[in-house]
Amino acid sequence: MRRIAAVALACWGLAAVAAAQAPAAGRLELDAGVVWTASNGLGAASADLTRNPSTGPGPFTLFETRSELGGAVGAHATLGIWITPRWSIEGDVQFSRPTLRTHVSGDAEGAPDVTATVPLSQYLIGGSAVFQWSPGRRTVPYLAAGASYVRQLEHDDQLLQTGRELHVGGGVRVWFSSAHRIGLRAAARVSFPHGGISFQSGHHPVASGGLSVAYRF
Amino acid sequence: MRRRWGAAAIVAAIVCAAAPPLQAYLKLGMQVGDRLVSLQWDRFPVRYFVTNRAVPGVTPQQVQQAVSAAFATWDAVPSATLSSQFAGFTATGPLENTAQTVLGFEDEPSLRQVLGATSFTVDVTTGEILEADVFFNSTFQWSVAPAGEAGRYDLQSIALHEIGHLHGLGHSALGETDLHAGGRSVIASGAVMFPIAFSPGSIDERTLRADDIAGISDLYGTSAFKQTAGSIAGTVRKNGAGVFGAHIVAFNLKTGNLVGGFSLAPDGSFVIASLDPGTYVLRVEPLDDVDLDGFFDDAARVDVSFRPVVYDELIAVPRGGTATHVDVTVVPK
Repeated sequence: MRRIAAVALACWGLAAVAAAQAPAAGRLELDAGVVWTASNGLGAASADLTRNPSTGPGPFTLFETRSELGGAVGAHATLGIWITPRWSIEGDVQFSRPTLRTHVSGDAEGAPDVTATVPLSQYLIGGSAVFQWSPGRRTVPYLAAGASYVRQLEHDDQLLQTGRELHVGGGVRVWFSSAHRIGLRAAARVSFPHGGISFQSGHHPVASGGLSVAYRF
Repeated sequence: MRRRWGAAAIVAAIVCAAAPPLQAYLKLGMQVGDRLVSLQWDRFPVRYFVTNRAVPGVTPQQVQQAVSAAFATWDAVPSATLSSQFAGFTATGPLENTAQTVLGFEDEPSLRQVLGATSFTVDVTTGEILEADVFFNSTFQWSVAPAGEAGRYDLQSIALHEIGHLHGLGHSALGETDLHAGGRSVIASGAVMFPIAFSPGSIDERTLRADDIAGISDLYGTSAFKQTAGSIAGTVRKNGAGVFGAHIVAFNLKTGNLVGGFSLAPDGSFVIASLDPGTYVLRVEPLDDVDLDGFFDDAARVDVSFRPVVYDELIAVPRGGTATHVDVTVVPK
């Protein structure tokens, strides 16, 4: 969090210097495209019974599990408002269908190892602050940081898990003309989830990337 | 691993005539007309007396303290509405026929495998428990030492198990046992309501486990709990036919809680209720093939001839709802 704040302040300083370089384009930008999210380890857990102290120390493990949220390709849409030629604020919606997988092994009574799965519907609704360099060029790199609300529905929408995530990332816009009306946008992001589906106390950062068509109006 | 109750095993048994199991944990039930009703208290607090009888190393006052601590442990389950009240000491033993709920020691040397037992008087039209008695077998050596005492059974632990019965819970099958020269002993358990006690000296069974809490909450759950708890419903089948008496264990991937249940119908159907919402792994195993009547009156119907299996789908238990269509296929041994 402290690191994100430092990046944002630095970017703000750059924006003030270069504000006059922006092309005369609309203040709104609509992006739509695909997003890919990497698989995310959710940790190990063991099904433990309380051991009779006379039979040895520690718990008795009935079986062990290791879980992950599989990588998935989804769709996303973004609406941005350009506050200055360098700074914009974006609202973002993502949808994907990752699979939750749990590998069960080491059964005390010899049940075969199995990987149990359940499909998820995952929605992210969030916002970001975006800073771009060299807004007058057709290829424009940018940095972004923000937060999202995460909504995960399991098994035909039977179970709802909610959480949130902070994210930082960056990418590049490639406009097809100097008018900056239509272009492509490639993005990469690292998210730090909190809540949602998790089977251990800590969360791992999750990488994702996206490719979209950008339209500014 | 086969789990067999051997001749030398120490069994905390329940004495309850005509008490077939209901869904999961097990709860105790009885047939009323064409329906099965669970045995449970309708009036609280449960007022109990303690027999004014000492055994070596344990005074009546210490019995009362251990029993009260065990009652308090059940009463403290936040998702259930239980309360109890010590009504006083009595010269009456728990095996004497009175209209009072009495807990205390009795000398029963013929019951070499029984540490304690619970009996009931119930309203046969409703299943309401009117009074219940718990005896602890003074044939064994007992302790109330805070940290336990080598060679002696912990009274509070055994009282906690028997008071679970007193509240209407049957035995849980969440445990593993070992066969040795002297019979069967327990390696580990996941429930205070497991029928075999830990070794003398242990005080580890003074604490309720998730399975116990789910069971008691299913019987006496608060309205808030019942609105939020979920359940799993499905069937266990072998060669296309339902399996009766399969032991089903639900493992919550987030909390690590284990809750067990049984398939209790000819079609192999089961329900595990009072679960925290979340994602579960489901494991199905045969019940121990000896002493099945520790769980079922109709033990002959119990199918123990199949291999343990883990269901290949994760189960999402919704808040206040039921995960359905969980159809597990097992293969014969």
